[in-house]
Amino acid sequence: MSSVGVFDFVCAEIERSTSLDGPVARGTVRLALKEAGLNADSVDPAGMEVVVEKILPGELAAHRIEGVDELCRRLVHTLATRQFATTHDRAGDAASVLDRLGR
Amino acid sequence: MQIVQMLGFSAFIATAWVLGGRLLLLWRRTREVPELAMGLSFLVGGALGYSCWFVYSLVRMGRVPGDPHDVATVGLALSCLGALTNAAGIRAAFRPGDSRALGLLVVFAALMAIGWGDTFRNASGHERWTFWLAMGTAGASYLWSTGECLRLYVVLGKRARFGLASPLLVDRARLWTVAFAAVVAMVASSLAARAVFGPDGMPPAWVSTFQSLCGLACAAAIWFGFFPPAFYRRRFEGQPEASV
Repeated sequence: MSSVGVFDFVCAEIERSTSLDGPVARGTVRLALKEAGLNADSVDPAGMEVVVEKILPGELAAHRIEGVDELCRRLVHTLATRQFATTHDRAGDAASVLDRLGR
Repeated sequence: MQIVQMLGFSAFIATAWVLGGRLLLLWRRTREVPELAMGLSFLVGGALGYSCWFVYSLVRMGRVPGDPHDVATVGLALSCLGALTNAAGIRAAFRPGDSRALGLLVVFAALMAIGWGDTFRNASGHERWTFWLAMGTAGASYLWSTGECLRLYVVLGKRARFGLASPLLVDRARLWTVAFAAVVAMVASSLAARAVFGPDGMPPAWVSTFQSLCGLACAAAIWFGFFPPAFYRRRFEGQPEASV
């Protein structure tokens, strides 16, 4: 199991592949996660995949980044195939309890 | 107006009995804390506690013989136990393993114990400030529940837009929020009525009507939020589903 978290990986790739520096890259990804109701500490690969596909392109385009589509495609591929450090999603757990109480 | 009052009280108490029982039956299968704690809360605080307060109002009006203080003491104990078990269920569901939430539970328990103990020891304890302390703390615990459910509703709502949460679960989180908010409104209006009209005074009928309407809203929200019937679930079929 990798010790690298999903959020750290995506931010590092954005910083490596674009002109954005670390704090801006992290802030951009945090904003994208927030729009989807996710947060950096608990997002899992599946959730980040959705964010990278549907929200991040728009956020990166606002910074006038070129090659956004190719970057996001690479990120999605890696998110789908690589293992990352496990995270704990409190909201997801609460939703699971909600689901169970209705059965 | 009396019909509305009876309907509201009856709906809330009946719902609390049924759903409390269903949650305890679920606990027998799952052995998980949230269903045990919330099931007990519905039965003790909702069904028994609220029934006791209804009897209290009848005793005060002279329609049923009894000592208002004795009835209020029992009602307060049931309400506090109901609030405490609900808080325990909310912590187990929303903040498992969170030491700060556990600390909050301990504070709630201590304040309610102080309030109830003083009420119990004094012949007219239900007129003292410690009665307010206990009931106010119970109300605060339901306010915490409301906040946790509201927060979950907002988060799940955002996730649902991107297929990361079930639309049915989003709506059930909304209904849980409504249910707990209605309980807060019932507690707050009871305390406000006591402040204005005194513990043995008779508030105007509209106060009871308001509480009954809150009880009705709470009953409906609890029913659809905890055990949504099939016709209600069908409303969300055909919408994009998620794993949770």
